Amino acid sequence: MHPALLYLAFRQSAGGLKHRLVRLKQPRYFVPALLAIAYFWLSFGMPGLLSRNTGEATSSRFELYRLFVVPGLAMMMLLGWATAPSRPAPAFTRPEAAQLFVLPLTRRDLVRYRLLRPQMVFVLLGCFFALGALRAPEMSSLYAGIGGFLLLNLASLNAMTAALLANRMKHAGLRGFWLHIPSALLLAVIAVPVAMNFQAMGPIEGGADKWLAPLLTDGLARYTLWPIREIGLVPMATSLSEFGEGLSAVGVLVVAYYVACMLLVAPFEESALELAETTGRKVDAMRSGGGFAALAASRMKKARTTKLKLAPTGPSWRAVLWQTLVAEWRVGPWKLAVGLSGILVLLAAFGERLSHSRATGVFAIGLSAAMGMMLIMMCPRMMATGLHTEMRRLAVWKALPISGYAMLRGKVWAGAILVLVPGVVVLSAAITAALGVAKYDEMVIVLGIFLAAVPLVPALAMMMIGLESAAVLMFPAWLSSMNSEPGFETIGRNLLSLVVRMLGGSLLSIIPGGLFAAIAVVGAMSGQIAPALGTAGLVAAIALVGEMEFVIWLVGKRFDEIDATPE
Amino acid sequence: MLRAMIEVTDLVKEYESARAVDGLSFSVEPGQVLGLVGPNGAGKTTTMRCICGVLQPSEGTIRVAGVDLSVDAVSAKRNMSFIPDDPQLFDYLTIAEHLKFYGRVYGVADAETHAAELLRELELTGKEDQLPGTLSRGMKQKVAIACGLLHRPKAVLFDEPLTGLDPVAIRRIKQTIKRLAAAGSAVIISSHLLGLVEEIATHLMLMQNGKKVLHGSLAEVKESIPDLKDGGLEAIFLRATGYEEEPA
Repeated sequence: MHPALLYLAFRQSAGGLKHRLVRLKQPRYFVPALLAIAYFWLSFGMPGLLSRNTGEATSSRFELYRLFVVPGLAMMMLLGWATAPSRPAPAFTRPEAAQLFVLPLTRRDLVRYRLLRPQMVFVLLGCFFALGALRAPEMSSLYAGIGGFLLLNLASLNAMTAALLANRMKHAGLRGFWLHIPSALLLAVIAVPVAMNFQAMGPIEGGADKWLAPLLTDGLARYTLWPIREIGLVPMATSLSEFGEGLSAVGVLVVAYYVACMLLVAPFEESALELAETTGRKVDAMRSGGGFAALAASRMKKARTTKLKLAPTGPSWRAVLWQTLVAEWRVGPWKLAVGLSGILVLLAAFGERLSHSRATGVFAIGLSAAMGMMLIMMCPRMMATGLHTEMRRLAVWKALPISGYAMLRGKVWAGAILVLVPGVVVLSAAITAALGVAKYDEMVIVLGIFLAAVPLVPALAMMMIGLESAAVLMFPAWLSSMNSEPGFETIGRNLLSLVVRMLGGSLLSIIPGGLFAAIAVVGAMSGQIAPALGTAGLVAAIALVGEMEFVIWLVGKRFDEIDATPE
Repeated sequence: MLRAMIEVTDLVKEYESARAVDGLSFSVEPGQVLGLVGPNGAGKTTTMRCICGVLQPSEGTIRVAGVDLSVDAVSAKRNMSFIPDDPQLFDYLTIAEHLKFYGRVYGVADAETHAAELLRELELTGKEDQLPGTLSRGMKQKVAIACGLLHRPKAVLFDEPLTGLDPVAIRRIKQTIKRLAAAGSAVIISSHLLGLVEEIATHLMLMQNGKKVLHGSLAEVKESIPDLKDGGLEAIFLRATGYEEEPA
């Protein structure tokens, strides 16, 4: 390998590490980093305190984990080959593609550099594997760390080989279906022997490993999956001999992949440049705060004009509401949430008929409740144009003749309206399932819960979005820096944000919660439970919205006061 | 006649849906500055990227300093430098480290002293230990130029070299380009700034729809449209590309 590329790989890694360490001098990085370290220490360093590992881990469970490594590794390998036709080149960053391709360097050197570049990240991830192994008494942290590092390198080599082969095939004039043949062959080698061994699971006696093991080790699978089983032994080895056995398999495969990479090299600059620019645009979009919605926008070639009307005159917050609704429905995950909720409705409606069991109905209710909770908790982050992303356009917003209150009101109300759509679908799923499970006299309660939940879902969403927006405005520099330069600290920052939201949410829930309880109790005592629950939900929602209007007014003032450059 | 430093023969670059460059042939001799102009989508950047080896030509040959790019790309690139309009520097390498890296890739024996000269010339002295993230766009552009000129290339390709630069820097870059040509380098400048091209180019090539519309020395190009020979390049550009407004 060219010494200059070695220098580049080393300096880039060392420079990146130094930059991340130096920025810890700033409280906005230091405090979240401390929280993140505390989280990992509590999770891995003190297994007795937070770990769910009670010390009673059975060898059966460990064997099951070891078996799961095989499909996991197979999926990883398959994924590399399945995605290669759409990414038929080594993945370089934009600066690398822009600078290295015009330099007098051989393509093989560039491939070697690309394989070498992520080694520091792999070492750090290997350390996380080692930490994770502390929770499993059967595992060795040393084996897990080394194994994790080697498996990541194997994944990298696997993806590189697949990409270079796809590139070679494209150069040979092959297109479309032909490019998918390698992944189809690999799938056949892995899946057909497993399918031949397949037997219905039936009642689980003696652990799921008893069912899974024959699938992966009997018949033809014994031979076709043998290399993957051996590789999987490296991080989960329980003895030196096992570790050595796995290490030999990894060594052989690494050499084979590397030789294949060197032999398959063909002109890849054009595809790699295109790939680097596409990926770079996505990273830019995400770094500027748009998250995954920004990815959707970066892929969108055409957008249909909205049918949502906006009157030319009227309160300015309506304009923000309109802007947010239009943008969110176009790129936000709301449609996906509605689709997933729709599947729940189908499960609730037909599940019982298909399974002839009440368990499906109970499962649908549980799933709907979990999804509803998640929707409310996650809605601030689901917003593509929430305040956390709009901070990058702070100067533009501040230059508009609009108050902070109007801006924030438009955003928060839009979020609440957007949550209402999947929220009602989720509720419908829960109610459908509940009606199938409930007895006749319980149906009144089910109806009451539905009536209470409909106004409460958007009100709670409004609270979550309002609190997130307040946090953004109170600590603008913290949030903008986390978006533009994510890192280890982001974990701590997310924990901090969650705690703030939980505390704020608890405080704001006192009055609406009290009102809800009082009305529900009165209704229950008078025997009018369904109307009472419906009224309680409505009153609590109105109280919560009133509180939020006050919070928005307060936080809006903060928006009017802050400087247009949060840094 | 001098041997051409950059020689493009029957260059064709096809994409799946379009032909971006269509049978282009031209050459640039040492000391010449070729201004590559044309409307958006004319194929200028594609041509530049083919010459610097980033794009593979569908047909045709490209020679740099006599070396066929398709036969020995590494040797051809050793004599060449491409300076893009959007400087993409390595995030975690300081300016000095960028120059050290480039010096090593090209094997420049006096990299340290020449880098210091370039930094002084481009007014980057004192910023050697800064990371690109702390620099303005114009500064980054200057760093990219310094990196590209470190190995004293025989052929230099500038894609919109003055984007984001302040007037002082623009003047310096113009002087640098003229000095490069005077020292015997062949230079290609792709730019929409016709004033710049008129000021520093010795030759001009106007492209449209992937084809050469006009090509020659500045004087020859002006002579080719007699009624506009006393006008500027803008008038010639508009006439040749068919964008000239109808007289009122």
